[in-house]
Amino acid sequence: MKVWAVFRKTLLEQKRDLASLLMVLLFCPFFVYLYWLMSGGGSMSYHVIIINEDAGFRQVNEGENVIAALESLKYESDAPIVKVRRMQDRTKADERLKNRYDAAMLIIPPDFSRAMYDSREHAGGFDNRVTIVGDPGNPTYTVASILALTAVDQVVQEKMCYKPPVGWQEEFINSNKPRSEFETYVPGLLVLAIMMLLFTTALPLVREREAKTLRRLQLSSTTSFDLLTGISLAQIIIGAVTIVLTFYTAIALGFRSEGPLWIAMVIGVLTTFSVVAVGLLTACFCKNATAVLTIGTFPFFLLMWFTGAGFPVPRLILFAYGARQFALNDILPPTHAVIAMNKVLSMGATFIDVWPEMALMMALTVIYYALGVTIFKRTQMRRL
Amino acid sequence: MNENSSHAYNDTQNCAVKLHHVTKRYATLTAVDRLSLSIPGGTVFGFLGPNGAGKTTTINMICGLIKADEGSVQLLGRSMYPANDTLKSKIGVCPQEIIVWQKLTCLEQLQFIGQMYRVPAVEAKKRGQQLLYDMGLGDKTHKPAGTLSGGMQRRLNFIMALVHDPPIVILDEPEAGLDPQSRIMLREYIRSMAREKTVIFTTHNMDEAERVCDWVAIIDHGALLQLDTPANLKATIGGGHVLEIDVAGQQDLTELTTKIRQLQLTILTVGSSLVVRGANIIHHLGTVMQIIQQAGIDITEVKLRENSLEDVFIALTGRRLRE
Repeated sequence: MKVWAVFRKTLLEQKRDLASLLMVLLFCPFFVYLYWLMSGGGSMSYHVIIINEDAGFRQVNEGENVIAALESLKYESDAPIVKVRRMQDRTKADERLKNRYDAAMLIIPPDFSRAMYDSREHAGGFDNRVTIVGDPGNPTYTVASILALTAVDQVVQEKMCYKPPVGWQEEFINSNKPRSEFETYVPGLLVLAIMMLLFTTALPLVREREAKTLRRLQLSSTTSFDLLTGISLAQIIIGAVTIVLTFYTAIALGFRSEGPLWIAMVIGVLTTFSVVAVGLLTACFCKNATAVLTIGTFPFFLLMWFTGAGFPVPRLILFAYGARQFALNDILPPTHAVIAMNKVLSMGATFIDVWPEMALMMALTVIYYALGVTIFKRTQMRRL
Repeated sequence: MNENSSHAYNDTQNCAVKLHHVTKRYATLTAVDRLSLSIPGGTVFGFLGPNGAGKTTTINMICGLIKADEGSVQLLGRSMYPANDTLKSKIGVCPQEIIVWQKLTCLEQLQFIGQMYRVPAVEAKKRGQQLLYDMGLGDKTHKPAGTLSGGMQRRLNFIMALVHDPPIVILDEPEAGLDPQSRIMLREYIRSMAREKTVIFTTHNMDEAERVCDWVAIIDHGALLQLDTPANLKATIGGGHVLEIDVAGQQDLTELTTKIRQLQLTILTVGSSLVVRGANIIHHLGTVMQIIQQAGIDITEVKLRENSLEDVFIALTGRRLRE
């Protein structure tokens, strides 16, 4: 009954603090929408500058064929993979690369067409080079440069009637359909949505102390378990609503799930528990709401950056047991949530497939929650 | 009640709270020093003392918020340590500061805190409604606490201590910040409760203590100075009136006090005031004023009043309660 009373009170207070409730509920759907916009409506286009100095030969300009090959690269949605910007001024082009307006620059030499003709007719002698320019620190450079050089290679091979002795084929481990960049980020974004609960869990607890209402509760029969469980359950409800809203926003923007949504929801709720547990721990070390927003950013960024929710991160392997490797990142429950979400949503995994991740998440959540309750009891609700 | 008091309270059967050699220290400061007293059930018991006297520390030990370093605290015959839910539910505490959930309505928070004392939700709601009505907050039932005036929030703060119907109610300076109307309402309510409950309250308001309390414990520097009924306490310094003379600035009062003492009156210098007590002081009024005039003492105010618990405190400590 006491847990229910705290749960009801927390929801009532949250409902009356509409601004913060809306921020939590809408932050991630909005984040998903922003990401969709930034990735070009679902599929990211790579901007490549082409300086085509090719003079052509016998009314054929092979440099133009390279441009045509690049422009023909399309996503399933017909959106272009490469957006070509033709330029002549190298200085201005360099400036654009430095400002990261464009990802790479391809310079086609003046004798590009002629060299190919000569090489085909007289065998050898093609000593002309295309130049690819870019900033290796720009994460989009690698993809853009590969796409540009592949297009050059394609035109050269066609022109030279060259068939490589070894070909290649591509197989996807998830499905036969290639997924857009936006779709690859959605599972991580869903976990990120839940991470905001760290603040909304810690804040009501810290406010109880700030307003000294915690003292009233200390005087009553309220236990740490009653208080923390009531608040946690309310946050889990809010978390579940956030997940649903984020999910449907993603689906409305073209996200396709490979696996059953209900498993993703179960993973989401489990993640909510774990983030709430981290929120409880955070509250133990914060004296006021300002501290939650400053001290709280440490665990928040830790979760955001090192679990793979924001972007893929390298794993710092500690040890291996059988086929499974254990990394330092694994002590953060959302790490397993990101893996499980990816498996379900991108690879169509079943409940059995993600069971190990869920078991690890549950174990870690229990540890974090027990730690949170114990420290809170000792530091905030100490009884005689 | 005080082990040294001649007015010892001996009915252990009806003892609501018993403190035995209770001591609480904070670093080098001894907030409460070997305090022993018993509080009879069904009475209004006041802790009277200046700020920092150890009143709040004492009630915090009674309600189980802090633990005494030495000594024992018994509630209704049972030890308070270790604190347990059954004993906690026997106490209702109204803290000195207003402690309410700003975003909850008056009724919601009464219902909530009732439930936290294991009162069923329906019953807590019913009691909450009644208490709001009794304290003149009936029309604010569904208003968030944060929208109430300071005085109304204080009344709400008070009734939050009562929603679980505890036999012992502890009020820490409940009258502070209340408007005169609310103060009268609260006083009457406390008096009406005293028939069924033990009310313990701290104050440095002598009038309030005198009007409301059956028993008063005067404490200072964590030690019990005197414990008795207000009437008996006042009798210890003699009945009658008190003449209070406020002196302007720093003046030599030695000659003046010597001459007044020769009239068989008691005179104390408290700050910039002279407090003169004694039987039939009204008859000596003219003589006293004449002595003052002859001494050339510049005075700002002269007050003749009934003696009060403050005079008892002054007689015991040589200081005023608010100093």
